[in-house]
Formats: sequence, structure tokens, C-alpha cells
Amino acid sequence: MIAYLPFAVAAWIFVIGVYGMATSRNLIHLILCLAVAQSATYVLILEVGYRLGATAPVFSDVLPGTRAVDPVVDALTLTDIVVGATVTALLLAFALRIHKRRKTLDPELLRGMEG
Amino acid sequence: MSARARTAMTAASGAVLLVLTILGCAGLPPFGHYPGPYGILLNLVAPHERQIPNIVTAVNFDYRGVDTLGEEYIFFAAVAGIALVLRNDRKRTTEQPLPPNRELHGERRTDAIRAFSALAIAVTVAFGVYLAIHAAQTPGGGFQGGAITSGIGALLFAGLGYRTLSRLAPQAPAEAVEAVAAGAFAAIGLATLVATGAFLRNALPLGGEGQLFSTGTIAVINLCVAVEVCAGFILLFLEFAHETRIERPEPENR
Repeated sequence: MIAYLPFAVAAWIFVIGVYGMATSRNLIHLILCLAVAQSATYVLILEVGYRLGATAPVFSDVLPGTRAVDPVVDALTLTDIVVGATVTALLLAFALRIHKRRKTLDPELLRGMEG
Repeated sequence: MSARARTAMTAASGAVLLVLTILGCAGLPPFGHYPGPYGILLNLVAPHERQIPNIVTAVNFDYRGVDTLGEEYIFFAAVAGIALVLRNDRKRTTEQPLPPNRELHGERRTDAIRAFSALAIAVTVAFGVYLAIHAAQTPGGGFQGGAITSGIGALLFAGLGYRTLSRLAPQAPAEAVEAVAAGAFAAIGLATLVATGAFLRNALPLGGEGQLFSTGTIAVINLCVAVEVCAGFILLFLEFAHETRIERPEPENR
């Protein structure tokens, strides 16, 4: 059981992010909650690639051949972070636009679609 | 949808997700026992094969360079999308410049704030450029270094104001730099395709391990990515700053 405990950290971060999104009354808060939920994937991916007692896959100070974590998942995490940042920025742009047109950021007050 | 209906829906879909997650995690190897052979193999061969200590950079810009090209264009498309959304709206609602805000007339940034932001900009640039150009030797890279360097956009806006930001980092050149850097990545791919018969194959001399100018195309692509990410984020800061700016009266000469 203890061997799976680190994965629970990722699940917990995801759950608090989703909880925040579901109960949010402000679009900026909602977008930040989405960013929190998404950061669970960074933690998860890094945990999946971890190997016990391993160092970072940068062989500047340690000899090549030293036990290191998986570099592929590290590269994936980098991609994940870039995508996460762009999604957040794009959503914030939408929130700005909504606020300008509807004068509110409360999802409860944003009913109906507008062309 | 009422708040109660939404809570019920979240709870129901959360329960389904929980079951699926537990089923999906059941087959995972325990923490710290990753079995994937690909990364282990890369850790063994890449330092010698590409003369590069940082294997993550080697994966990003060489072994899986095609993925990074896609990633870079996700970023590029997002910046273009944000500019499109905000500018389209701006045209309709705020074509005229904002009227000067009288309440803020007496409010000025103090010299301490301006001096601190100038100092912070110097440190940010030094650190960002250091990270960006040492992608092969240290846990740095174009994405990280470019993103940190672009922080000067936020510092300029917060510390010196919108007017200074838009003067020092004008929109048109930033757009051009971003587009050229993004295009250069694809052009390198096409050039290597013509020269070696494989897209993004490392075709340049590798140099000595640990040296600043080494690792062939990895270093060149890394530089393109750093410039693209930096220019892209500065464009984002410009767009958001333009959106949320408060027009202050022109500072009189002192």
C-alpha cells in the first residue's frame, strides 16, 4: 500500500482542483483551479518515471551509467507545463472578454450562449 | 443548472472517475520501479552518442524533436489565438484610447519601485539567458530560459508601467521575432531532411561534451525555442497589459 502512496498525492491535487472548479463563483478562480488540477499530471508523470535511489538524468557531475530517473517522462512533463501555461493564458483571455461584455465573472450569472 | 444539480453531477462523474482511476492504477508498477526500457537505454547511450550530459534536452530536441516541434506550435497557436480573441474584442469596444484616470493623477510609482524593477530585470535576464544557453550541460533549456527571460515583460509593466513596456517591447518586432524563431525550428527540420534524409536528424558537428558550443542541431534548435518562447510570452504580457492598463497622464519633464 505504501508503495502507491505517492500516487495518492497526485490524485489529491487533482481532486482539490476539480472541487474548486465545481464550486467556483469566479471565472479567474475557476481557471486557477483548473491549473491546480492540471499540475496533478506533472506530479503523476514525474512519479511514474521515478526509480528508487536515482538521480536526475543530467550527467554533468555524475558519471554516465549512474542510476537516473527516466528522461522521457521528464521531457513529457516539460511539454505538459508548456501546454498548461498556454491553456491558462487562453482561458484568461476568454475571461477578460467575458468580463468586458457581460460585466461579470460569476458563472452563475452567465446563463445562455451569446453569438 | 442549479447549484444542487451541479453538485450532484460532479459527485456522480467523480465517482465514475474514481472507479476508473483505481482500475487504471491497479496495473501500475509500485512507486520507484519504473520498468520502461527506453529511458534507461537513452541514459546509457545518449551522453556518448550526442556528447550531451543533459538527457532531457537530448530527448526534447533530438530523439523526440518532432514532438517538441508540435509542442512549440501549440504554444505559437495559443499566443496567436489570444491575440485574435483580445484584439477582435478591442476593436469593437475600446478603439479609442482610455480617458486619463483623474483619481490616479497624483499616484506615481516611487523611485524605489522603479529602481527595484530595473535591478530585477537585470537579474532576470542574466538568469534566463544562462538557463537557456546551458541546455546541454545543466538542467536548463530553451523553454525554461525563454519563459524566465520573458518575465521582464511583467516586470516592465508592473514596475515601470504600460507605456514603458510598449515602448521597449513594441508589438510588431516581437511578433516578427516569434514567427521567425518558430519557423526556424521547422526550417532546421526540413534542412536536415534534405541533407541527411531524416527529419531533425542531428547533422551538425557535435563538439566536445560539456562545452558551450556543442551537441550540433540540439543547441541551434534550443536557441530557436528560447527566442520563440521569450517573444511569445512578451507578446502575451503586451496583450494582457494593453487590456488592463490604466491610462496615466504623460509624465511631465522633470
